[in-house]
Amino acid sequence: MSTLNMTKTPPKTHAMDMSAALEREHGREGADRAAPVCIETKNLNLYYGATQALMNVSVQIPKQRVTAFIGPSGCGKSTLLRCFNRMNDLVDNCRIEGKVLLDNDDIYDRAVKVALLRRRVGMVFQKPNPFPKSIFENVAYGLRIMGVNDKKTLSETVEGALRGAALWNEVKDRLNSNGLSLSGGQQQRLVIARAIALEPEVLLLDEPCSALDPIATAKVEELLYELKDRYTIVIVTHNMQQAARVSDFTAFMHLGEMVEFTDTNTLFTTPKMERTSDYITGRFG
Amino acid sequence: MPGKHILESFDQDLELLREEVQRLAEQAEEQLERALEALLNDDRLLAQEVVASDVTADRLQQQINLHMNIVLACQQAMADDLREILAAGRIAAHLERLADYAKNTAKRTQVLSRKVDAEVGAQFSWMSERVGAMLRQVMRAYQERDAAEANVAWSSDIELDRMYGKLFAHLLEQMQQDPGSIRDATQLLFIAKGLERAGDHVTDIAEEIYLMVTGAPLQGPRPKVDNIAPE
Repeated sequence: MSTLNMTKTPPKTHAMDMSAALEREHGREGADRAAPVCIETKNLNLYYGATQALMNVSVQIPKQRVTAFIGPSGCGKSTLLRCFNRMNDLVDNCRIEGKVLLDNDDIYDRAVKVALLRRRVGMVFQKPNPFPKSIFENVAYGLRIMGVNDKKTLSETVEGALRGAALWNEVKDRLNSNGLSLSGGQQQRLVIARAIALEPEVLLLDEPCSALDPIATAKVEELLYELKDRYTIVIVTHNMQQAARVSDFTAFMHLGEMVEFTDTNTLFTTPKMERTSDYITGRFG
Repeated sequence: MPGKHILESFDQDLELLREEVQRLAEQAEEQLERALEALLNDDRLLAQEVVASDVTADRLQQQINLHMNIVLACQQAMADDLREILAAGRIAAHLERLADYAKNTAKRTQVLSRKVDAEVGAQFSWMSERVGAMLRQVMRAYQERDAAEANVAWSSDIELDRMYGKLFAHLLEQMQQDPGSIRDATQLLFIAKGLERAGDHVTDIAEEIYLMVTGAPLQGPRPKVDNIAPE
């Protein structure tokens, strides 16, 4: 799909971009804030022991949009991502202050069942991690541990998820093959299928293409375009061109701070903050 | 000025583009000066040389376009870098048009029946110098990434418009009084119009520089005299 023809959400016309630039010139935010908020952090601080990894981060992730986190290594982007489904709970000495809200509900509330939270907020990691099971069972896994064993339901869900992950046509004739027999790009899409089989609201992707070749990367990026109509997607990437291609909003983080968060077109053409500009233009020392 | 890139070759690419644009600007200015010299001195040989050397500006523009494409493809530029690369291509197109006006002046010079009179010559000379001064000003703004200087140049075209209006009226009167002068005066009108348009291109370059530096377009109508119905 041509980059020029790809419609980001919401569709941005030249006039809209121009008005965004003008608004910025007058000190107002240029980003589209029309989309309802899916995830919100309020004054979020996170510590690994004595080390503070997130500094007072307040951000609103729009619903059914792709939001990218960029920034140098160690800036806190993966840490922030892992706050959204409480993956940091698994890290010793990790402590957080502030709020993380999913649809206005505090996900760190004691009443929240973390397993259910992670069903609503799926995650895909840098390295594809299929289970050593068949392609079918990889996708059906989440349903099975939820107690779904009806063959028809499982088959329909697996097919739907594989179609949703743009993998069905490549694997429909070998669903019983081991998931590990697939190529890296196919494995990553299999993992995405496994995540969306549970119909989450949010998909978190932590550098999902860094281990993939350009063709496999393009397929995953195309998939993100197709998925964002149904899911809120947050992607951490070191590849700025990828962030520019696939996201509607981009956040630049540095040293644990949220330096700039705005619509992607603005961030990569006329960033407001000097630190953002220095980073995206390769002047960051 | 923005700081240096981590990748030194990127700085070198941008510097090369800047140098090429500057070279094209100097070539265009020299062509305009030589074309006017040929016109004022009725120097047909020089006029021929100006026509022949227009190809230099064309080639410089092609080279800038080629390098612009290479830098865009290889360096994946963002933000002010991206604006600078795109601006180089657009500014080069304006500069090439300036050189075209010089060539056009030189071609028309070759068909004039006699040397232009002193009064008209002085007006042409003034317009040519004005275009040259504006061009040097915008190129300073380009090299120094000075949006304020670009803004000043953008607003200063009005003097050129006024002089064009006067010259237009003068040539019109000449044609009314001496129908035998119509053939030459028509050529001179086109040359004058070319200089006036050259001023417009320079203000367009100023707009490009402002956008390149600030990321926002210059706002508001540019001060302008209506040349269709001159004062």
